[in-house]
Amino acid sequence: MELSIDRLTKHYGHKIAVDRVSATLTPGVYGLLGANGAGKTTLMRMLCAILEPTSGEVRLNGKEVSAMGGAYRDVLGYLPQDFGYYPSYTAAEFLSYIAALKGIPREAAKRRVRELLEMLDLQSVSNKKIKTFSGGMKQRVGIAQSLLNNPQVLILDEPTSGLDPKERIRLRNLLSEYAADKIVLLSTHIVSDVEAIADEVLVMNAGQFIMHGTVPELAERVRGKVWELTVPREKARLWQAQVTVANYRHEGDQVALRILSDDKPSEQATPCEPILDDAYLYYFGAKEA
Amino acid sequence: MRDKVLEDVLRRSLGREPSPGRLEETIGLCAEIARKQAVRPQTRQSFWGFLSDVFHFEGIPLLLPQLAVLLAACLAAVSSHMGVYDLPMYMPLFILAVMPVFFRGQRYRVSEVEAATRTSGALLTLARLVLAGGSALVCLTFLLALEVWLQRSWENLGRVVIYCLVPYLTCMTAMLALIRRRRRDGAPLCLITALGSVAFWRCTARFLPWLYEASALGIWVAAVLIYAWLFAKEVTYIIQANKEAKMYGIVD
Repeated sequence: MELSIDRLTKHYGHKIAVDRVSATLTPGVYGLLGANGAGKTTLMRMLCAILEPTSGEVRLNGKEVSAMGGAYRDVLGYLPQDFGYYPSYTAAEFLSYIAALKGIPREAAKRRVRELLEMLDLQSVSNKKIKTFSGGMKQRVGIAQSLLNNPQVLILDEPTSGLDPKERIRLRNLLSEYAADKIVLLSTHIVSDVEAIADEVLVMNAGQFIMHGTVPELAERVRGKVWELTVPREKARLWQAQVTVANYRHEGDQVALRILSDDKPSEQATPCEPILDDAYLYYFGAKEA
Repeated sequence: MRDKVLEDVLRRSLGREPSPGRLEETIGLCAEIARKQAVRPQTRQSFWGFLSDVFHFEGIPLLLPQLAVLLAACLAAVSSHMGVYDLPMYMPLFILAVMPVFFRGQRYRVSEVEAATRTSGALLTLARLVLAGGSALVCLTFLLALEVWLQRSWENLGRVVIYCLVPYLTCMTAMLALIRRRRRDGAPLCLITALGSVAFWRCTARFLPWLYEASALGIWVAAVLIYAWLFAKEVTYIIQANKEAKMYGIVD
């Protein structure tokens, strides 16, 4: 299975939200990273055929998705960033409603709803109204609805927002397992989530993919540019003003700074093993990130 | 020991054991079939099955407010012996009654999820339209029957049907056009259209009585034909959007 994006572009008047992005996605987890306004949501909406592109196309196994129509939506699961729900519905009712919209026959829908409620640890609250749920529980209902039709292409916009660390880990494991033979594309601001599960990372800025590769490949790009320096507390602020500081850790009267710099910032600085966070911060700058 | 003997006898009687080479080949073939089946669309609901699901989830919010409008119209007819020219002003209220269901996806931010499903908004709108139109038809029939009973005459029935159809089709077409054009302000505009329509038909009943005379029937027939054509165009667009699984409806 292959989802290919070919020079996909979206203009809103004179504003270019997505600018000729191309990529080929095969089964696995893809992390979409980017600052706010980078074009992630617009790209995801075009991949879900909710938004018509200005130019370019999306193909699933060589077939253009706009021509596939319902057949494409049959294999698609989507969790929007701003997930809404009907307040009068219980979790089970809402999932049954979405299952009906997905055209799943009633009996099959009942079974699948039960399965998903159990998988996402919602079975004990399945008959409670969604409006009474916490943010994390609502988000889990959103994830459950995206999985109802056992989609081959799963697109999740900020799926980990609102989830506590335990729920995040549970979701990561679920997605890793799910992506064995399916395409999962998720966008997030939380670099550690992408680092933990993404087979490949697409970094977006100003509507374009500026980096694309595996987590070690992207981290490798900043090798030799990540330093650790321990300075007295009163000098830490001066360093922060001069260089990009990725991390700031108190160690007694001293402060250990993780610095991103092309050159060795000080004689005392020691090189560090780079991680994805460093690469993201290096290319986006502390302000944008 | 006995088991081994039995095993040996069974093996000989059942024939050859599967060779590991063939087993690998079989597993490969099964995996290929499973992979192909995974992307093959599953069996889906028919339209009537889907309509029954929509009725299950949205039947009450579609029917109850229309029944309330019917009750109000019936009470007005019985208490004040409402004339035929008073009927049109109640018709936009039937649209007002179903409007929250048509715009609820947008109101509760569910339209994006709905749009990414097989129905892509079009089939859902079509199902709502069938349910809303069907129930409006029942209400209208009841109201007309009451009017005939109160007037004790069948004479004006044809005219009254036209008087009811024009405002109903006007408001329904306006609502569908707003949804098709994906106007973010679709719901308030629809509300204004329906309420404005009520006021307009009330004014015609008070200030333009000649409009309800037999001589003005031509104007009504022309209006009903125009709005029926526009309404049919909207419905055709929805059916076409559904066939091509094109995005239909308002997504914020």
